[in-house]
Formats: sequence, C-alpha cells, structure tokens
Amino acid sequence: MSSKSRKKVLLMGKSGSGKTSMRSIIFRNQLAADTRRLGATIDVESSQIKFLGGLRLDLWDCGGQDSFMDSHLTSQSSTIFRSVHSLIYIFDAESPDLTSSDTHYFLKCLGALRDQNPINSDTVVESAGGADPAEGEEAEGQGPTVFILLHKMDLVPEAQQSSKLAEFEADVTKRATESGWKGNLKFYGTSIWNETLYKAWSIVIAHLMPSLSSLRSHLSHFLELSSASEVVLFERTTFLVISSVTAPSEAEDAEDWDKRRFERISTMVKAFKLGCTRIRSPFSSLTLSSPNYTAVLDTLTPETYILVLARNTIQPAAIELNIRLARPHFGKLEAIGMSK
Amino acid sequence: SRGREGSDEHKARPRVLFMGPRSGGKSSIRKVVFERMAPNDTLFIEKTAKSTADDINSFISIQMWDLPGGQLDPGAWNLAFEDMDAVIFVLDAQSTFNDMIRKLAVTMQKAFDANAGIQFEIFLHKIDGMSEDYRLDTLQNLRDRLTEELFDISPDLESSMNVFYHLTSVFDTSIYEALSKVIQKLIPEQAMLERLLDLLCQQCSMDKAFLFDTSSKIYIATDSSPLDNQTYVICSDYIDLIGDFALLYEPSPLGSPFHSRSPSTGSRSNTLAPMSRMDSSAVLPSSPTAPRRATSADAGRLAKGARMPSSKVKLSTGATIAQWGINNNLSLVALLRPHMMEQHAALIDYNVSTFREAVLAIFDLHLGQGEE
Ligand SMILES: Nc1nc2c(ncn2[C@@H]2O[C@H](COP(=O)(O)OP(=O)(O)OP(=O)(O)O)[C@@H](O)[C@H]2O)c(=O)[nH]1
Ligand SMILES: Nc1nc2c(ncn2[C@@H]2O[C@H](COP(=O)(O)OP(=O)(O)O)[C@@H](O)[C@H]2O)c(=O)[nH]1
Ligand SMILES: [Mg+2]
Repeated sequence: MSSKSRKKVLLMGKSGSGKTSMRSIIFRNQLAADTRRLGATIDVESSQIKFLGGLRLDLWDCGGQDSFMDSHLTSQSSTIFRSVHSLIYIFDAESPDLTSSDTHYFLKCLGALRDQNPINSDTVVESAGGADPAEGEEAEGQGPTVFILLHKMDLVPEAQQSSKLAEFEADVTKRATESGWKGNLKFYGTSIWNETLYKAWSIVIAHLMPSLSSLRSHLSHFLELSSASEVVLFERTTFLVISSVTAPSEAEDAEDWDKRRFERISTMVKAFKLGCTRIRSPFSSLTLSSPNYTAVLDTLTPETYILVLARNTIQPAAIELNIRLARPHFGKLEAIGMSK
Repeated sequence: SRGREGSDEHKARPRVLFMGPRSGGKSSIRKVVFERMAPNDTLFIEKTAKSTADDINSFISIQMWDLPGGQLDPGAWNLAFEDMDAVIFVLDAQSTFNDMIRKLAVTMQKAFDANAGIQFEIFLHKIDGMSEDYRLDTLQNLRDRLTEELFDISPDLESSMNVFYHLTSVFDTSIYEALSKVIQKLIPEQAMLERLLDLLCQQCSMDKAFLFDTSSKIYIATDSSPLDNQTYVICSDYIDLIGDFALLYEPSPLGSPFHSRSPSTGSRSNTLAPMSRMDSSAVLPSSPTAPRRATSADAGRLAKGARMPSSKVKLSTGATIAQWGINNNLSLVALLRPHMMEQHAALIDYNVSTFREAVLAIFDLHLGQGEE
C-alpha cells in the first residue's frame, strides 16, 4: 500500500481532554452522552479506518496521562512520530494549566514531530491539486500538518468563546514560533455537544483526501444538470462532509442560509440514523419538500451520501431519478479517480 | 393580570397551569418541550420570579406558578383556576416531597372549589437515573399520601376529583408522552380525530399515525392501534430532524425569538420556518396575541392551494416514515408498511389531503361555535 493512500494521524493531548470521545463519536457512531463512560486510554490505541477511494486512515489515539506522554516523547518517540501525516492536538478549554504545562507538552510534541519528519524538499513534491482554498491543502509537502482543537468549548460561556480561542491561538502560535516551529498551525474550537466537532473533522478529512478538486468538478456538473441550488457529499459512516458545490446563481441568497449548515446536517442526520438503527430499520434516504425548496439525501456510491437541494419547484421524484442516473458515473470515479 | 384574548381562542387552545415547588422542574419542562432547549442546558436556567407570560407558539397555552411557601392568596388563585382546563403539579422525585403533599392537597381543594371540572395531573418528575422499581414505589407512596390528605380535608373531595399520575423526565420522551396524554383529554375533538386516523391507517397501510403539535412534539391524537414507545421515539426524532433541516435554507423568520440559540443546544427553534411564510390562513390561531377567525373559505384555500411541506424517510426495510403539514401548528406523521409509499404515492396523497380537509373542518366548526 502506497504511503499516499495510507495516512497516519496522531490524536494527542492531556488525559481527559476528550480524544477518545471524539474518536468514538466520529468513527464509531457513539452518542455524546455515552462518552462519560470512557476510561483513560492506556498507551496507544490505533485504529484503521477505510475511507472512499482506497484511502486508509491510521488513527493513533495516544493516552494522555503524564507517564504515557513522557514515554511517547522519549523511548517511543520514533515509533509514534515517524511518518506522520497530521497531528491533531486536543486542549481542554477548561483546563487550569492551559497556558502552562498543557502548552509545554504540546511544544515538546512539535519538537518530536520535527525531529522525526525532517523536511526533505526532494521527496515531498506532491501536487496539492487546486483544492478548495478554504479547505487549505497548501501544507501538503511541507511536513506534517498540525490541527489544534480547543475542546469542550461548551463549558466556556458563549460570549467568551471566540475571544478565548483567539487569545489562545495567538499565545500558542507565538510560543511555537519561538520554539522553532515553522509549519502551519490550524486552530478550531470544538465540543462533542454540537456541530463544531463535525466542522473541524470535516476539514481534517478534506485535508487527507487527494484529488478532491476533480470530485468537485463532477459535482458541479451534476448540480448544473439537475438544476439544483446546492449539492453536498458526505462520507457514509462518519457523515463528515467531503465536498460541496453551491450554484453561482444562488450566491446572493446563500448568504442567508445557515453558515454552519453542513456540519449541522452531519450532526442531525447521524443522530437520526442512530435512532433508525436502534429500531433495526437502518436509514436509507430522506426526501423533503417545503413551499420554498426540495431536498433529497440519498446514497450516491457505496461509501458516500449526496444531498441535492433545489429551490425551484422541482419534483422530488426528478431529483431522485437524477441521483439514480448519476450513481454508475460516481461509482467509477470512486474506484479509480480518488486514490491516484 | 392575565390577558384573555377572545373567547374563540380560549376555546381553541387548551389552557394548562404548571404548579409545584421551586426547582421542581417547571421551567425546565417548558424550555425543553416548548422552546427546544437541550435537557442538559436546563442546569443553567436562572431562578427568576416565574411570570405567567404565555408566549408559546403552539397548540397549547400554558402558565406557570411556583407553589407559594407561606400564605396563599385565594383571590389570585381562584381567578387562575377558573380559566384553566388542567393543573399540572410538578414534584421532584429526587427530593423529599413529603412536606409538599399537604400543601398540594390544600391547593387542589381550592382549585376544585373554583373549578370543579378541572383536571389534576401529578408529574412525579426527574425520574431519570432511578430504577424502575424505585420509580413505581415512589409513585405509589405519593399516591397513597395524597389520597389520604385529600380524604382528611373532605371524604368526598377525593372521589369527585379527576386526578392522574405520570412519571416524567426531560431527559427522555416521558415528558412528551405525559403532556400528550394530558392534552388529549382536553381536546373535545379527540375521538373524532382518532376515528379519522384509524380510517387513514386502514386506507394507506399505515402501521401508526400521529397528529403532532409540530413545535412541541406533543401528539394531540393517534390512531387506536397499540402505541409502542419506540415508534413514538423515532417519529418524534423525525419531527426534530425535519424541523432542524427546515431552518438551514431559510432566512431567519421574523418573530422567532429562539432562532439564535447557543451552539450548545442540540435542537431547533420553536418556529417552523417554512410554514411561517405561507398564506397565514391557519385555522387554529398560531399566536395568542393575534387570534384569527378562520372562515371556511380560508380552510378550503389552504387545503387545496398552497404546497404544504411534506417529507419522507425511507428505511432499509422498505418501510417509510412520512410527514405532512396540516396547518401552521399541526403535522401528520405516519409509519407506512414496506413499499406502500412507492407503489401507491398518488392514492396516499389523495387520502392525506382528504384527511387534512377533514381535520381543518373539525377545528373550523369548533371556532365557529366559539365565536357566538
Ligand atoms: N463538556 C464536555 N465534556 C467532554 C467533551 N468531550 C469529552 N468530554 C468528556 O471528557 C471526559 C474524558 O474524555 P476522554 O475522551 O476519555 O479523554 P482522553 O483525551 O481520551 O483521555 P486519555 O485517554 O486519558 O488521554 C469524558 O467524560 C467525556 O465525556 C466536550 O466537548 N465537552
Ligand atoms: N435529573 C433531572 N433534573 C431535572 C429534570 N428537570 C429539571 N431538572 C433540574 O431541576 C432544576 C430546577 O429546574 P427548574 O426548571 O428551574 O425548576 P422550577 O423552579 O420548577 O421552574 C434544574 O437544575 C434542572 O436541570 C429532569 O427531568 N431530570
Ligand atoms: Mg482516551
């Protein structure tokens, strides 16, 4: 298996910061409330996740108790930090040691990451493809990408959330730069209790996926053919958003649509799917029509769901038919196109 | 000073009063059921002096009072009870409510004196985290003690009162089911609605059908087949899903105070956006401050003209959960047998529109009487 289709991702952070909780919600369909029963992770729990197009995610959930942290950073350092594609570092927003010992450990991890993944400009010229600039793949080829999640934001009063994140970002960025870190650091505020978790993880996953741009152009084409206003592609098990296209003609109205609609859809459809599973009738598709729009959410390929939203008076059956017709085409794409 | 807007409205909206000791969970119930607050967030509800504001955009009208600690003001109380169809007493099952029972009995007597037809509903609340046996024991204990107290006040008082008991929690569907049962007793058309739903189920191969108050997930009627809790849970989850979805692609509707909610709540606002844009020919008044008299012309136009919201979820078993808007407040949610929806879509649509017209006519008739 080539290194391009197999990507090692580290999940690190202090004990109790919420690493295993996130992992079980996103990848194991657990309910947020059930994470209260999780015990501390011993050493490292690694899990392989198969994504579309043959992409494999090697997720290393690194137990965060001090003794484990110390061994990750010393005796185990080369095993853990070598050939890492991305590091996701979780900070507990409510931790009293946020800017002291928590950040201290983080800087040590950055150091280990740098030591084990020396940037070699000859070997890392990998085309990032013209991916959605907002989803940023620019760091591809620059060594591991680091995502920093300031987690449990639900415990921070709403009015203080954005300033807390901004201050934290400024502080950590400054100290990382001082410690000699040259790469990018991407910051997100998250909580398992709302859609912010899906927002951050969708970005992480988009970053791991090669040739998203070619997928986008196929989606655009589908959007035009079906005179839809928006199409969104979701990964089947995690329900993370892989890609989306909005019709240019809708650009103005789209300003009024919920800015967090994609991650909200992930959150609520996933919750509903769980409910369906509980009555042993797994979810298959959803069709909605209101006076103002029609929406269909249905399987596109064995590993994806597509949401098609049309604002004109299109019959739901017409959209359902279009999705059915598009399936063979996207099926082929998934098989060959995605992993090249 | 409680405003009472027009008698037609009083007739159309069942009026319930929530009472109980401080911290029993009244505000939590109101917030969770009628304002879609996430149950976990009720921990942060501020202890404000409870107002009687009635601004709920729902089929039901509610008011809330803390059960006063010391002196009762009979004047104020009598006035409130006279207007109410039901009083819900919310008692905290996790606290020692024994001292409350005497007070409760006294209050019930006052309510009964003021309004002999009033319905008493005792919610033994916060039963989450208690074992099934313990719940039932606690309920039995409460029932015995209260019966005793009422009997002490007057032997025939207890026998002439309508008292019902419910085990509830905001953390599961028990609160919705309890409120549904309370409300159903207050709707005179309930029997008629049930017959209509039975007919619809039979014609369209539906296993179960509910008429929901859309914003609160309380069902005001269901067909007469036995109700399985799982079915209710999935149908009410479904209402949540489509309600949440409806908000994503609509500009925020005016007059939706709950629209900008904190990101920590996992559910949706109280107002159904897509419906609020429709021709407001609702037969049931959608807002207590703007009662509206519907005419039969209105009802006809609504039934045939506008495209009412509808939606369906297909399950891998082939079964379908489908939903149809009936008017601004009500929606029909049904569980259809496998492949019915694909094979008989036109027939089902036709039957549902007939059902809608019948429901609107029932409530139209009712309003007409109220206007005399
Ligand atoms: N309030 C709140 N609690 C959370 C959140 N995420 C996780 N938790 C809780 O935090 C606790 C610890 O979570 P874990 O996922 O076990 O922590 P961990 O990072 O895996 O810890 P180690 O395995 O010891 O490294 C659990 O009780 C979770 O329910 C969040 O976003 N908000
Ligand atoms: N465990 C549990 N706690 C609840 C429930 N309902 C309300 N509470 C809690 O009870 C407390 C008081 O509730 P509140 O609604 O303010 O009571 P009120 O004074 O009667 O309006 C809050 O901390 C709620 O979180 C419930 O169903 N279960
Ligand atoms: Mg863990």
